[in-house]
Formats: sequence, structure tokens, C-alpha cells
Amino acid sequence: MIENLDMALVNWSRGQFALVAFYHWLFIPLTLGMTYIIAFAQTIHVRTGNPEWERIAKFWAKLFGINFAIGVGTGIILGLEFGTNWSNYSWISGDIFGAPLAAEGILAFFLESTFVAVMFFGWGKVSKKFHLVSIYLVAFGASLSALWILVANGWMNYPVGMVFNPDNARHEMVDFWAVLFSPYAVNKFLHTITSGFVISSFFIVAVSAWYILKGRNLMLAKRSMVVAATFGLISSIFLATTGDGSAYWVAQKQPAKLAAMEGLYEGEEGAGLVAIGMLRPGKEIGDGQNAFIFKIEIPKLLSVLGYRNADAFVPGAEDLVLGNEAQGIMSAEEKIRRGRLALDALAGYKEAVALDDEAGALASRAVFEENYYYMGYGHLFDPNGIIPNVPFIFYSFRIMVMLGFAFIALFLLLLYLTVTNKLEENRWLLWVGIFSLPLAFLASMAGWIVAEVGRQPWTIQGLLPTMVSTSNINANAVILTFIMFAVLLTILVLAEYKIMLTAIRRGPDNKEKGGDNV
Amino acid sequence: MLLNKLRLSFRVFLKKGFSKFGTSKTSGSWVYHSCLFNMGKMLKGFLNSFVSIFVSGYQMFRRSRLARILLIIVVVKFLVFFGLLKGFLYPRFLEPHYESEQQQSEQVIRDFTTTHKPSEQ
Repeated sequence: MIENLDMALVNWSRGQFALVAFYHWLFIPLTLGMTYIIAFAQTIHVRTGNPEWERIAKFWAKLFGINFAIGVGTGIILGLEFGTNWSNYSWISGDIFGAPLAAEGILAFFLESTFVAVMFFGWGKVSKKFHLVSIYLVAFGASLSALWILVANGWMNYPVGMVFNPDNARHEMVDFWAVLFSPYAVNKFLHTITSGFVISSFFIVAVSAWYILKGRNLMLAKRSMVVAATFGLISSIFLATTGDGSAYWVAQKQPAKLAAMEGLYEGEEGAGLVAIGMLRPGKEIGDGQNAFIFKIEIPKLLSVLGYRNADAFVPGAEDLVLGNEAQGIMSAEEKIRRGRLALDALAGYKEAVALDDEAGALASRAVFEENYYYMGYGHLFDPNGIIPNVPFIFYSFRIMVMLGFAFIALFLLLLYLTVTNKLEENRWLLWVGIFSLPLAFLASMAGWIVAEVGRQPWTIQGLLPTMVSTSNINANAVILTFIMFAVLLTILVLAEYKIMLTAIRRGPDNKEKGGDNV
Repeated sequence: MLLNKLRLSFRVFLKKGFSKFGTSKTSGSWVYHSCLFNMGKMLKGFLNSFVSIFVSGYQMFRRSRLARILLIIVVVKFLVFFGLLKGFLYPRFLEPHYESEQQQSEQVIRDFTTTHKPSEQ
């Protein structure tokens, strides 16, 4: 039993999940985006018969293959963690969470894995059209994998399409389509997948820029640069659009996350968006201090982005914790009180059922259903706990957004200078292209921090807090496996780094120097 | 029309066997030459491609050191994940401790309904 909540266990379990997800995400974006770029190059080859494009497709497919072989299966650890570290969560949500994960395993992963073999070994062995279709199917399979995972994640942020069954303590799915097409999940999928496309584009930009700096494989590098910069430009514009959609749904369903993203403590009508700002350290809810040391704000933009209305009221952390009657916002304390009523009624219901007390069971169930919506709040002790870590979320959000807009400008510049054949004269830009790859990963990780740390204290928004989701296992076992994974996954990443760099150094012709210098 | 072609094609397949398909032009039947759904030909083509991909993969692993390293990484990784992690370090928590689903759900409800009571902390 979890009568003695071990916060070390909760924090280490969270840390372990974050660690594995972090390493897993180092591999995934390249799988998501590179396949489309390879497919595009091969499409040009099939249509025009130009062998140079096949050479380009083959080279990037080789690097894709290295990433795929080393990265494949790292997500399995996350699945194992659900059953061991997060058994309460798995039990309560298994019916819903399990369906997309099973669909991912059966439909998407097998599709991807089957055609990956044709993609790698089918050059010149099967017809060109069948081979091309296989590459597109690999790309489609990778996107489909991401879809199912992000549908599950979207449901955790905005739980829909289910009812809670108090007899077995499970959320049971009543509407699969509501889960699949939840606007939150759709936006999350589009936003995440395009961030993978942007990272893939930067990978190709970085490698191509290095070749141009070294004066090697110039034909391949310039053509790849044009394709990657175009793909990256389209993706990063789409990324900004889907980011707007994501922010809208965060405002609707997770106001505490939005307040943290904006460092907004006191809600206001016609709220502005903080473009740049520095938060006051030590600021607490209700202390009357200004939340910012300085800030530059774009007037009314937060109300427009969050509610599509320039004068809309955006609740701040204090409104959500202390309540705001004028705006119809219930205080966290009242939500906690109602949540406890729901939990007590659930316990009473189970007791009455065990004693065959039908009247008692009916009465308890009625109280439970009346307060079910606040069930998760019943586990919280501190009303302030409903607000996630404000500085962490605020700065992560700004890093993501600023880099996202910088990427649009960078792709545009790279594309312009490549097509006008002026790229080699601007060597600084080539260096910027190389260093943008880690920055693209940084932006993506910052986005995940906003999404996942911003959802705290919840595993399932409003219904299940993180601290109740864990298993009653020894924290030391989690610490031990944390260290083991850190070592194991670091070795894998280092292996990828080494093998990838060797393959890049050798180039498309498998030589240390030379190539198609023009 | 289409069904008829399929039916005739299947009959040829039954009569001539797999080896004649897609290579022989001796049947003299217009159906045999023009059939869009020549199943034997399709099957043979598919099997040829499959074998060709397999052989190509095998040759690649023999020729390329990189391919061999990647294969070893994949095999070792999956052995660690499924052998060590799933078998010993990451067993399911609820199933071994509680026999029936009823007991498992009671345990989860007990966890779920007691954490909020300060007296039990």
C-alpha cells in the first residue's frame, strides 16, 4: 500500500522515465523526417532517371539505417516501466492507454520494420517503383507509430472518450474515435511530428554544410541542402501553425500550464504575451510581488492566442489557486474538498458492495459521481501544488519559441543562398547550419519539458496525480535501474555518434577523401 | 470478366504447376498471355523479390563491417531488453503479487482511496 508516500520513489520514477524518453527522442526525429527526404530524392531519380539522385538517396538511407539500427527498441524500456514503476497508472488507464500502444506495435511498427528491409536491401533487386513505394511505406509507418503514441499522450493531457468504473477502478473506453480525434491529440501529433521533420532537415543541412566547408561531395551536398532547407522551411512554418493550435488547447484544457508558460500570476482581460522577460526569483503565489524583474510584452496577444478574443480573460496562477468568483473559477481548496468527497465515496461504495449493502452502495456511488470530476484533486495536500514549476516552464517555452522562429529565418537564408550559388562565400552560415542541429534538439526537448513538466502534478489531467500513479516498489531499485539505463543508453548514443561520424567522413563513395568535387 | 480471367488463370496454375508460370508461352491460350491477374506470375515475382532481398541482405552482412556491427548492436540490445530487463529487472508489479484481477483492482482502489488521508501518512 502507499500509505507512506515515498516522494523519492515518485521523483526517481519520473526521472527514470524522463531519462529514457530523452534518449529515445534522440533517435526518433531522424527516423520521422529523413525517410521523407530519402523518398523525395528517390522519386526524382525514378521520374528522371538521373543516377545522382539515387546516390543522394542511398547515402542518406545509409545514415538513416545507422540511426534506425541503434535507436530501434529504445522505446521498449518505456513500455516495461509502465508495468513495473507505474502499475497503478497502468491499471487505472490500461484500457485506454493500451489500445493506441497495441495499435502502434501491431500496425505501425510491423509496417515500418517489414518495408525497412526492402528499403535497405532492395536497391537494384526489386523494381524501382516497388522500392520507392517501400520507402514511402517506411516513412508512413514511422509517422503512424508516432500517431498512436501521441494519441495516448494527448489523452493524458485531455482525457476524453471514457468513463470511470468504480467496481474495478478503471477508466474504460466508450468512444475510440473521441480518443483518436481529440483536438488535443491531433495538434500534439502534428506539432511533434513536424518538430521531427525540422530536426531531420537540420541533420542533413549540418552534414551537407560540413561537406561544403571541406570542399567534398559538393554536388550531393548542395542538392541535399536545397531539399533539406525546403523541407525544413515548410515544416518549421507548419510547426509554428500547429504550435498555435496546441497553445489554444492548452488554454482551454490546462490553464495552469498556460499560466506557468507565461509566468502569469494575476489573471487579466486582454492579456499580453511576454516576448522576453526575466522572472523574479522566489516569487510565490499571493505574495503581492511583481512576477517579473523586466519584460517586453506584446499587448493582448495571449488572449488572442488562447481564446481567439483580444479581450478574453486569461486566468493566472493566483486565480486558479485562490479562485475567482467573478470569472467563475473554483479555488483549488474547494476542488480538493470535493475530490476527497469523491475518494471517500469510492471507498464507501466498495465497502458497501462487500457488505451487500445496496442502499449504502447507491448513496456512495451518487456522491462519487457528483464529485468524480475533482477526484484527482482529493490526493493533493497543498493547493499551490496545482501549479507546475513556473520558471522551468516559462524559460523552456521561450527557448522553444525563439529557436523555432530563428529556424524559419535560417532555412529561408540557406535556401536562398544555395539556389543563388552563394553559400560557399558565406562560410559563417555553414557553421551556423552545423551548430543548428544541437539547437534543434534543444528546442524539441524544451517543448517536451513544457508539455510534460507543465502537466504536473498530473499523470492524467485532473484525475490522477503522479504521486498516486507509481508502484509500491523500493526506491533503491529505481535508482539502480536509473543508473544502469543512463550507462546503457549513453553507450548506445556514443556508438551512434562514432559510427555516424565515420560514415559521414567516408561519404557516399565510402572513401575518406574525394568524391564528386565540382 | 475479371472473375472469369482469375478462374482460368487458377486452372492453368493447377494444371501446369508453379514452375511453368510466368516463363512458358506454350499454352496458346489468350487468357494465359493477357491475364492481368496471373497469380502464379505474381507469386513467383514476389518470391523472387523476397529471395533476392534476403540474398542481398546476407551478402551485405558478409561484405560490410558496418552492417555486421549494426546487426550485433541490434541483437545484443534486444537480448538485454527482453532477456535481462523484462525477465529480471522489470516484471509486472501487480500480477505476481495479487493472483486475481479482483485482488489487483482492490489493491489499486486501496492505494487510490487512502493516500489523501493525513492520518495514514
